[in-house]
Amino acid sequence: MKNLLSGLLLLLIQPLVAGASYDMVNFWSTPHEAPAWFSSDNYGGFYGETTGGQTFSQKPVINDSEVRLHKFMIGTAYFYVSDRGPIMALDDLKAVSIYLALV
Amino acid sequence: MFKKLFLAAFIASIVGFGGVPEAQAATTVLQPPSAQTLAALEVRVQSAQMELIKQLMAQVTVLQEQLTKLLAAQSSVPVTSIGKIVVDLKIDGSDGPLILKPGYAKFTWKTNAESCIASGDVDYWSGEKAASGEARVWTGNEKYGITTYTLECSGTNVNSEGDSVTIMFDYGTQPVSMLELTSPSGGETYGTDIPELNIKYRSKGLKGEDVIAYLHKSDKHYSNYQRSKTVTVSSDGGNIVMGMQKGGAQTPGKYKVTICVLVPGKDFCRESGSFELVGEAGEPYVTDSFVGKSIAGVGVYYEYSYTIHNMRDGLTFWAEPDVYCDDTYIAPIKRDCSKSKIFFAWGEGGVKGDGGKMNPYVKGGASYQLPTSLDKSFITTSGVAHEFFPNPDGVDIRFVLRDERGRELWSKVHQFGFKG
Repeated sequence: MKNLLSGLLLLLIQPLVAGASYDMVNFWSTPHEAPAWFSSDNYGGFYGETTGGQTFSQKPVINDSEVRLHKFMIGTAYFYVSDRGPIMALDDLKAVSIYLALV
Repeated sequence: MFKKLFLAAFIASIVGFGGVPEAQAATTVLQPPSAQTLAALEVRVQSAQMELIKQLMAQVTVLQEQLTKLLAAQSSVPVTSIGKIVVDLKIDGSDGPLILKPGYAKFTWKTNAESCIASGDVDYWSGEKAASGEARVWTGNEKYGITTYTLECSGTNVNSEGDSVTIMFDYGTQPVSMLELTSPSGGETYGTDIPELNIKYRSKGLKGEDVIAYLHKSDKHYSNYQRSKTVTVSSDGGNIVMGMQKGGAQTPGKYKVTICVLVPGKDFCRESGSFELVGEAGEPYVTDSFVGKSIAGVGVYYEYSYTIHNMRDGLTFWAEPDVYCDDTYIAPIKRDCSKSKIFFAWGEGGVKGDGGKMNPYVKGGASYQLPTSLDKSFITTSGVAHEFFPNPDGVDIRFVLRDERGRELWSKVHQFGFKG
């Protein structure tokens, strides 16, 4: 019985002790949880999970400029992945614009 | 052996049916063959040709298999057929998806193509590559998210093919980007006469980003600060040299430096410990404080209190606005720049006397000769009629203490905001 209660308690507090969720403010200045695994979604994107149980995904950004750009999302934080490095932008259009401005 | 005999027999039979010996031709009267004979001959010829084609195809297949085995043995590339490009890219021996520690990774690639183009990272994995090779590729510590490295290969008269490996980095417990202020760290003492302050920092994942430094009083973070020029981070650290004779926050006192990364969406700052700026013995310097302000219909009035330490003869106090009164500027009231002046008074509450006036709103600013009877402290009351200025937000006035040779001993910019 004691073990069962301990197990239940552990289950209850597990979400709390797991890594804090990322947002646009803390994402760039706090330690990142290691990715546990990731896989292709067969639509040009990816999805996965960190060792702390946070899910993340990365989707291709469709655009008219033929720019190969992906949007990475974890928690409420997101940014864009490109061959010219990561791009912090509020939306897809700005990301494409910034990408084209990068030389 | 059997195949050769078979082939020889067939060829002989074809020749036998298709040709006539010359000796016979001389003595035999030629008769046209019947339609039935011709049809039978045609069937036999077609049959023989088909058989020959089968034989040749069988030999080609044997040769193909031998060539495939030979190529596979030479390159380990799983070539499945001739005429098709096969590309195999591996990172650290894996086809991916792969989770790596940031840093260098071993890229190996093999192909039967003539040329290849790499893509995925414009700095470290891009452009033409040999048909096969290996390289230590810097995958960096700035590769957030999932990165796909691709090798696209092509040849003559064949479709191009490519191979990709996707990577995600495990940054461990380190922040993906880090900014650390290493100097000043706190506890240092500098003279107020130092020409510049060398601010040092370490960083990670911020290459190419802009950083800026602020010098400010320990207890006042964002008022009366002095700002450095923006510096672009080129490596994992660097320094920012802040000139100490511009903007003038360098009166004696306790200060801190704050450096900030200027990236939309990820701005963050680091503050130093408190350090001290001390004046040279006997060298005049100023401490100041804000007294109050009032907003009038036609302008604003700001009062600041200044205390001159180590007062001596020959000192002048200057007021240098960043914009000047413009009588020609369109305003709803009659313009008169002479009404915008700064008034000096000294003594407690300014009761000891009218220190005089100066009109700084002429180009070059204006100076005020500080009387030797000045009892250390004085008050300036600055009236600025905002109708005379093109900037609707306000005027910045730089107050400067200069010695008898015109050398700046102290300066500070005060903002005279017109609103609120």
